[in-house]
Amino acid sequence: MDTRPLYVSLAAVLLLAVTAGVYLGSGARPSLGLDLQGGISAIYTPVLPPGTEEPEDLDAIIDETIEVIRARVDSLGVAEPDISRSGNDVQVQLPGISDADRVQEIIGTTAQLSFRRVEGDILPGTDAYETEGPDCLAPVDEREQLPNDQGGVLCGAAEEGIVDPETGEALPLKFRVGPAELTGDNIEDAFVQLGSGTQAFQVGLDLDSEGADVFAAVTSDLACDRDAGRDGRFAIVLDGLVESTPGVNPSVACGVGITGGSASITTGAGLTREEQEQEATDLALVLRTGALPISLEAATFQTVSPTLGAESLQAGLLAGLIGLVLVGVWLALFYRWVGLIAMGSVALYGLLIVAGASAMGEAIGFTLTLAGVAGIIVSIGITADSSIIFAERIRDEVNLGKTVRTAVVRAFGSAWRTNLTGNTVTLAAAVILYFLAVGPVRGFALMLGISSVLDLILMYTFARPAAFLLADKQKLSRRSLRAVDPQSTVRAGARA
Amino acid sequence: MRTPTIEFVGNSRRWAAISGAVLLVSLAALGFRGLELSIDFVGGNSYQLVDVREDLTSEQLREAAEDAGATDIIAQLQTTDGVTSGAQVRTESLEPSSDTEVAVRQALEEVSGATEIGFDFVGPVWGERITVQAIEALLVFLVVVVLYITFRLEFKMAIASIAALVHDVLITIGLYALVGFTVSPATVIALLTILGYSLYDSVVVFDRVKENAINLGEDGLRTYGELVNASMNQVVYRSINTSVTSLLPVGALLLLGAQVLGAATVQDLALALFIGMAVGVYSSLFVAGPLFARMKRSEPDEQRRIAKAAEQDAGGGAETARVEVEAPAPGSPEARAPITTEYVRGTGKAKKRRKR
Repeated sequence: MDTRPLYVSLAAVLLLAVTAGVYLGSGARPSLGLDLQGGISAIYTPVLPPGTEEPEDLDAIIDETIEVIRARVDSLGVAEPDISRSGNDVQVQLPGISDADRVQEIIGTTAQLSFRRVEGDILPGTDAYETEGPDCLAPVDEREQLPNDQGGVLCGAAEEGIVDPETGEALPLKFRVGPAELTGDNIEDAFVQLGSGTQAFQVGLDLDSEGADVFAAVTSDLACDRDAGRDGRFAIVLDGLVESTPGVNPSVACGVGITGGSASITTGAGLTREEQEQEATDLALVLRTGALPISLEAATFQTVSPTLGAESLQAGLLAGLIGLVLVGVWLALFYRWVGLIAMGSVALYGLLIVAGASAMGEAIGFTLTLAGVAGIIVSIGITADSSIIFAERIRDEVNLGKTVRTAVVRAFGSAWRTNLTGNTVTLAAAVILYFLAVGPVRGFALMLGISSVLDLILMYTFARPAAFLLADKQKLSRRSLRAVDPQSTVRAGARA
Repeated sequence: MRTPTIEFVGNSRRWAAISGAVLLVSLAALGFRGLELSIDFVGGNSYQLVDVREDLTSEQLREAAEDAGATDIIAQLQTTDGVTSGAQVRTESLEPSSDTEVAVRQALEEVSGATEIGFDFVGPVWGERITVQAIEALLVFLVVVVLYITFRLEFKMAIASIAALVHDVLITIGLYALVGFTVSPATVIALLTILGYSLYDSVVVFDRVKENAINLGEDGLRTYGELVNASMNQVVYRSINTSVTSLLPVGALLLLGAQVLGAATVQDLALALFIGMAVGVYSSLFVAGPLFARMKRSEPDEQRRIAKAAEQDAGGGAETARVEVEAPAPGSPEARAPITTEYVRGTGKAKKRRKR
């Protein structure tokens, strides 16, 4: 038997195990799901305003709504908020937060759109920036709100901010604005279009009849302001943040304004075409979202106390550890040498799965939930099983009168096929569950799927070379395999 | 260790009677008592009170919640080491942060003196949705499994595997109905696991049957029934050991969940797993295999084989058939390999060598 590839394979697995050990030793831990570290976990279902039909771009509008919610949650300063979409539902995970009422208010409030006249910019660094208007970095629910019928100071969107050279923080602009002239209710539609002649990307805007009248009056005033050398812009405000401040075109006359209830906003002067298109798409979406204020209603809402979470985790970990040890001992007692290999497989599995979960936490933000821990514990059995099948096969072959060396090779062949079939079924279950189910079941399915693949890998790269080498070194005997024949008979039989 | 010689297939009527009786009890329990579903399926609010007063009664909790405007109240106390340490209160679905909900929460906090209060809310429509989703996932999964086993092994094996699976899951939820345990999402996860294990077990048995099938017709494997029986005897140690190694960690989880935690999730999960796996051990040996052998019996080829075997048994062939059950004297050539496995592997070569 050429033993070199076997040694290489074993060495590779052990190297991987050492790497995993060092990685965990250096303090890497799986990031924990809410049910293990406490916090608020909720699933929200978007609800359209009563009496409206489902629009074609509902998808994009939900995304934009999620962006608005994300901006609000980000302002809370939660450590690692996770707001994600699954189907049409919005999953919100807020670790370490316990104030349910506050979360409910922040997420449940519908985003409002308004058009206001800009009366002036306030740049960061000026005295006025410090004293006037809301603190743009404070949590959204602690910021002063500006009612629609009042003028005041509003913050710009955070991504448009100017970086403070001292603190390195991006400070949003502030705008002094008038009362709301138009609201989202007045918008019938908003869409991206190409300007006639210029071929520049624009946002087309259709207003209802009431909105059209107001819009004509406002743009007329703005045109007069512009002619008089004053500001002449209006602010598009979504959820209390100024998203865009377009001015009026020189062709719009003072005293006439933009009539007819439709207008177009050209965006992104001085940008590339791609950026222009992106900007126009974004703004159109802001307007559409404002026109169709989707509210989020809680479908499930769960608060987990940090102490309960920690207790669950401890119980889970302890159970996992005890399970690992018991299984290892059982296997070693029952199968002796082959049992030791099995014990090694199970230990390697435990090490690699925890290291893998930690690495996935860092790389793709995977969080380990209680259901995931259960998946891992359950998979200990699966890993042990592949070793058991292998060990039983070896004994079967030896029982049939084969030499231990031949038996090990043949046994691996058939045990591998059996495991491949079994694990394929498990993997199929995991994949289907992962994609079709929601909530805790997904975490479980993920760990189960990873485990079934890991099981196959370990069987091929660890159990196989280890058993082959043990057989090669004559460590495995008929006696240690508990085969039916006494050792002497085998030797004779093998040599005949 | 010798390959055992248990009559799995021959006594299939007996196993069928046992399974049938247990299934009947399960179905009756499901039909008459029904399942206690957690709020995750039916919607509702659940309050988890931590570190409550020791002299708290569930009646006090119920009254407090009722006065605050809640309905459908179920209050349960939890004890650690005989001392009341926590409580759980369930109400109908109340929108989080709505006036009633806040009032209920405050009332519970006041009456119980809890240091911490966690709450779960599940909207009335949500539970129905995830239940439908889970059932869809299950159906897709079963179809995929049937296709895969049919492709990899045989259609009748797929059907027998699914039958064993339904058997396990029905008995587990039947027990839940009988004892009145609450079915939570953790229970569902556990059921899915049981399903996975049950299939895995059946696949292992049938894989061996298929591997042995090339030697069908040889001594000891004259009929499909004998073939299945021999194959199952070959995997019986594996089945037992796998079950033990699967039950050990789950048992640890169950014990710790009960000891360390008042929290229900871990315990729910471990309990269903433990029951389901224990049933799974039985069904992988006594349901899937015998059922498959029975289905095979209706095939004309198998009928011919059975007739031939009966003929042999009637004439001098009885001796060969008996070898299966009789333990050969140690040292005799038969001791090297029980006849069941010897012919399974097509060990003509080894035999010839021995004769020389």
